Amino acid sequence: MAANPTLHPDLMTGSGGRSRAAEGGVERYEALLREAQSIRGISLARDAWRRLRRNRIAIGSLGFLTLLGVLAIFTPFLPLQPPRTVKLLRQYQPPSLWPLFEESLSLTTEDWADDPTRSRTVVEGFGELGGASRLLLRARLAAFGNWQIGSICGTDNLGRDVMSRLFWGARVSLLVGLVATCVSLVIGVAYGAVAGYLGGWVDNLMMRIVDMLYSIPFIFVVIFVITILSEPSLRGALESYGIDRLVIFFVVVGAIYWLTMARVVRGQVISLKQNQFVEAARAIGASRTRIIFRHLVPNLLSVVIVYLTLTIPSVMLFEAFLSFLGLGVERPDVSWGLMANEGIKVITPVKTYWWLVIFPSLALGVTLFSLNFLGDGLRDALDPRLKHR
Amino acid sequence: MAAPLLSVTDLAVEFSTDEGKLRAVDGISYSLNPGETLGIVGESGSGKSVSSLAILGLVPYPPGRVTSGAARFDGVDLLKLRPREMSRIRGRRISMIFQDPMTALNPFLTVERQLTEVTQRHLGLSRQRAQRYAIEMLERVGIPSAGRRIFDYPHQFSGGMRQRVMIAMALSCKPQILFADEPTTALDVTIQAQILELLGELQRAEGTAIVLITHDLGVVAGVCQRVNVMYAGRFVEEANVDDLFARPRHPYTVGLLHSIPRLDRAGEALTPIPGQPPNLAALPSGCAFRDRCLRASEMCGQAVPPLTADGKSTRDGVKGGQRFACFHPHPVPEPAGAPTP
Amino acid sequence: MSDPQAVSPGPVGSGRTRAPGPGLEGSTPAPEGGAERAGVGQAEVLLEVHNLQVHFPFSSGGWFGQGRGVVRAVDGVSFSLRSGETLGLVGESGCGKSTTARAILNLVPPTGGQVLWRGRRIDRLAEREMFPFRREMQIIFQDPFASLNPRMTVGDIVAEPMKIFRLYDRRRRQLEVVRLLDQVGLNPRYLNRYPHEFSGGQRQRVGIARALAVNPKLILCDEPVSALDVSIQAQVINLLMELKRELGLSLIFIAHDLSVVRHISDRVGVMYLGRLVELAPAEDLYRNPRHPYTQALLSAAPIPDPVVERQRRRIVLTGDVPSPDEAHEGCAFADRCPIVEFDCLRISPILQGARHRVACLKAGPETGNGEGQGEVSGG
Repeated sequence: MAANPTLHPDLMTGSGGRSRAAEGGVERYEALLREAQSIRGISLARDAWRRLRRNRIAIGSLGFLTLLGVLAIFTPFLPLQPPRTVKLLRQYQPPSLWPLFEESLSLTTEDWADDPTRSRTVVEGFGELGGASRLLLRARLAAFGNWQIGSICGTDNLGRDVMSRLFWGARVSLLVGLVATCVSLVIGVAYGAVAGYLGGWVDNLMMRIVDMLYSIPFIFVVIFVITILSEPSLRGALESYGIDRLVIFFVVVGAIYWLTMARVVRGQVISLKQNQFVEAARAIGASRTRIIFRHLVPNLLSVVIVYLTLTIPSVMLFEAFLSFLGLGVERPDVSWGLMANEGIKVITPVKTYWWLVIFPSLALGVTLFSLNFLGDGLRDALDPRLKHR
Repeated sequence: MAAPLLSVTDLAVEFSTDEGKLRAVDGISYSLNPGETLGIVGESGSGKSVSSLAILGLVPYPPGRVTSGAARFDGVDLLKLRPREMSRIRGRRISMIFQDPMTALNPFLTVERQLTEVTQRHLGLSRQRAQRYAIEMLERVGIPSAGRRIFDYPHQFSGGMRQRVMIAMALSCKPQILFADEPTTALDVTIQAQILELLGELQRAEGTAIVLITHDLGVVAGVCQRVNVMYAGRFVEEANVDDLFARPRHPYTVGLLHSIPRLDRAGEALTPIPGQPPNLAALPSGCAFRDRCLRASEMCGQAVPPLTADGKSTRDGVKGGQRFACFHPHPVPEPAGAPTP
Repeated sequence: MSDPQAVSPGPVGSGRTRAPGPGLEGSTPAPEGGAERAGVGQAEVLLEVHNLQVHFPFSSGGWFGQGRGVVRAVDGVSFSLRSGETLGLVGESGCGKSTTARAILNLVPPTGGQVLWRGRRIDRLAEREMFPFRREMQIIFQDPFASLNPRMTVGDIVAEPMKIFRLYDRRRRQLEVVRLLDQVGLNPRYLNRYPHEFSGGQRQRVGIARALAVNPKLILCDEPVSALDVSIQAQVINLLMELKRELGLSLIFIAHDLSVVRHISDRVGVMYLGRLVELAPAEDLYRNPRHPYTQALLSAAPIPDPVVERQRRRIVLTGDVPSPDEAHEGCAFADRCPIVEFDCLRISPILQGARHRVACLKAGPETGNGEGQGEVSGG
C-alpha cells in the first residue's frame, strides 16, 4: 500500500510525452473538482420532499401539525386563562365570542418566588411548571399584562376555560404520542435490525419472542398494570422515585408498540441485506458496522419515518382511550382524552354540554387525521425509490 | 396480396408523469398482412410495448392516454371500441403474450381453469370439451404429459413451460393476430430457440399474423419478414428484414447493428452509439436521435424528419419498400451483395 | 432523469486524452501491453480454482429439518487464470456461474475445494484475513440499479473503497474520484449527484469506477451488460476491454450472451449445472465446440443476419435444465443430450484435454483446427 505523498513523481512513470499530458491532467482534475463542488445532486430525501410538496393534503396536514406543535410549545406564553382556576360562578358557560378579551388575569410574578433549589414550582391556576414554562409565563405577563382571552369555547363543570385546557391538553397529548413512539422506535429498530442482520437462529429466537408477546391481549395487560400501580401504597413508593403515571404510561405504551416496529424493521433489513449494494460493500472490504450504519440504516429511514407518522396517532388514541377510562393521564393534569371523558360524564338526559365533548374530540380527530394524511403522503413520496426514472 | 389485416395510422399515446406529459408513442403507422411476422425493434423507453398495448386497449388510464390515431381491424377502429366490445375481440381474434408469463397468469388458478375460461367464454365450449381442447393445446405447444400437468398451478412450471402455457392460452381461440411482447427475453437461449421454433410452427399451421416486439436483433433476423425500428416513440426505419440488415439507412439502425458482437465472427471492434438512451421528458428538438448521431447537422434540429423512401433502396418494387426518417441516411452500397455490418 | 451530458461526448476511447495506465498511484506497471490472446501463456498465474464446490443446504419443509437437501450450485469447478487474461464463463441461468464468482471472493462461503490467489489459499479465510485480498480482486455487478447505494452520492460511492483501505488523504481521494470517473467516461462534474439521477449505462460505469478505485489486479464481471440496452452494452464492453488493456487487468467475464463472451474473452468456460463442461481458448471453442451442450448453445443463439439465420440448422434441445438439488449419477447433461449413450448415465465425465478441455465421454479427439460437427455456420 504505497501511499505517495505527491502526485507528480508517480505520473512520470509513463513515457515522456504521456507524463506531460498527465500533468495537465492533474490540473484538469483539480479544475473539474472545483466545478463539481458547485453541482449538487438531488438526494432521495429532497426528491421525496419535492413529491410531497405536490400533495396538498399532506402539506396542509404538515402545516397544521407544525402550527399545533408550535402553539403547544408556546402555550404558557399565550394570553389564555389559567387552565386550573376553578370559578364556580362560571360553570357550564356555552361558547361565545363575547367578551373576546378581558382584563382580569390576577396573576403576578410575586405569586411565586423562583426557588433555585427546585426545578418545578407550583403556580396558582397553572399547576406545576418547569423552568422553561415559567420563563414563558413571565414573558406573557410582560407582553400581555393581565389581559386574557375570554371563554370562546365555553367553560366546564368547574368553570375552567375549555380553550385554555385544550391547549394545555395538547401539550400532554402530543408529548405522550411523541415520547411513547420514540420509546417504541428505539427498542423496535434496535431489536429488528439486530434480528434481521444476524439472521439464522438468533433471528428465529428473537422473532418467536415477538410472536409470543403479540399473542398477549395488551389492552388488558396495560389496564391491569396501571390499575395495580395506581394502588395508593405502590404509587407513593413510585412517586418517591419521581415516577408518575405519565412515565409509566410512556414505558408501557412504548413496550407494546415496538413489536410492530421490530417486525417492520427486520423485514426491511432482510430485504436490504440481499441488495447488491450490500454485497458490493462486502466486496470492497467494508466492516459490519460500516455496512449497518452507512448502507443499511440510511435506507431504513424512509420506512421508519412512515411508520412513525402512523404510530403516533395510534398511541395518542390509546392514551385518549385510557384517559377516557380514567386510567391514563390523571387530574389535575389534562389531556384531550381526559377532557372528553369529563365532558361525557356530565351529559344528562336533561342537558348536554356539547362543547365539552365536541372541542376535545375535534382537536384529537383533526390531529389524528393530519398525522395519517401526512403518513400517507410520506409513503407515496418515499415509495418510488429505486424505480424513479 | 390481400388487404392488410390490421392497419394502424398515426397512433399516439401520452403519459402524464411528475415531469409533465410524455409522448411514449408519437404518431406511428403500420400495416400487418395476414400470416406475416412483423418485428418492432427498440430499446427501453422507445414505446414499442406501449404501442401494442394501446391497440389492445390495455394502456393504463391514468396515467396513459391514447391521444390520436386509428387501428382498423376487420372494418372497425379498435381504438374507438368500448371496453365490452374490445374484450370480445381481445383474447379471441387478437391475443398477446408477454415477457413475464407470471404476470399474465393468475397464480391462484390452475392452468386448466385459465385455459378453459378463455375457450368457454369466447368459443362457447362446454366444460368437458374445453378441457379436452386445453389438453390438446398444451400438447401442441410441447408440454409433456399435458393431461396431468394441466391441473398444476403456474408456479409449478418452469419459465419456458410457463411461456408455453401462455402461448397455448393465446392461441387457443385461433386468433388472427398475435402480439408477442419480448416473448423470449426472460428465457435462456436454448429455451428461446424452442419457443421461437414453436411460434413459427404454429404460425405456419394457423396462418396467424405475429407482431414481434423485441430489442434483440438476432431474434428479428431469424423470425421476422418485415421490421420497424423504433426510437423515442417514432418509427425511424421500416424495411424488409433482408434490406434492413444488408442496407440499413437510418444512423440509429446502423449504430445498433454495429454495437452487437456477432457470434460467428471474431475480433471485430464494436462501435457503440454514443450517449444515453432517450429521456422522453427531455428530447432534443427535431430528430430525437440527433444528439447521439454522428451524421446530424443543423437541419436535424429544425424539423422532425418524416418517414420517407428514396428511390435508391426500394427493392424489387415490393410493398416493403424501405423507408427511413432521416435527412442524412447512410448511402446504399452500390454492388448489392456484401452486407455492411 | 438521466442527463445526456453526464457522459463525456464521443464514443468511449475514441482518442480522448486519458490518465496514464496504473492511475495516479504508480502501482505495478501493466504487464507489457500485449497480454492479448497469444502472449498470455507465459504470464504469472493469478488465480487457481480447484474443484470448487458451493452447496446450499435447504430444508424442504418439516418442522425438525427432516427432508433436508442441498442445492449443488457449484459442483466441482476448476480453472486457472493468468495475469492479463480474460476468462469468459457462459451458461444458462442457474448454472452456477455467478455463485462461482462470489465463492472466489468469499462472498459466499465455498463448501469444498480450493481457491488460490498467487499461490495462497484464500477460501475459508475469515473476513479479517480476507481483507487485504479484497484490494486485489473486485467485482462488477449485473444490476446497476441495485448495486449502488441510493443514499450515497456517486463521489462517495467511488471514494468508499479508498476510505476503507485508508488510501491517500481526503483531498487526494477526491482527485482520485475525479480521475476515476473521467477514466470510465463519466463527467466528473456530477460527482455530487445520486445514482438515481443517472441512466443504467452510466450507473454501470460508476460500478466500474468503484471497482477500479483500489487498483485491483482482477475484476470479476458478473453479467455486467445484460441489464443494459443494446446500444449501451457496446459502450460498456469497449470500456472494459480498454481498461483491461490500459491497466493490465485480468477479467473473469460472466454472461449468458455467447457473442459478448466471444468478443471479450481469451478463454471461455461453458458451465452446466454447476460444472464446467468445456474450457478452451475462445477461438477453438466457438469454431469447434466439442461438448454437445456447447454445440446446442451455440446453435441456439441468434445471429443478427437474416441470410445466415436462414441457412443455419439449429440443434433444439428438448426439456428444461434440471434442478440442481438432485444428485446426478453420470453426466448431468445426459437427459437432454442428443448423442447420449448408456455409459453417459453411469459415468460422470471429467474435464479432459490439454488446450481444449471438455467433459464428455463422446467428445471427439482434441484437434488443432478441426472442422467440428457443430461449427457455427456463417462467419
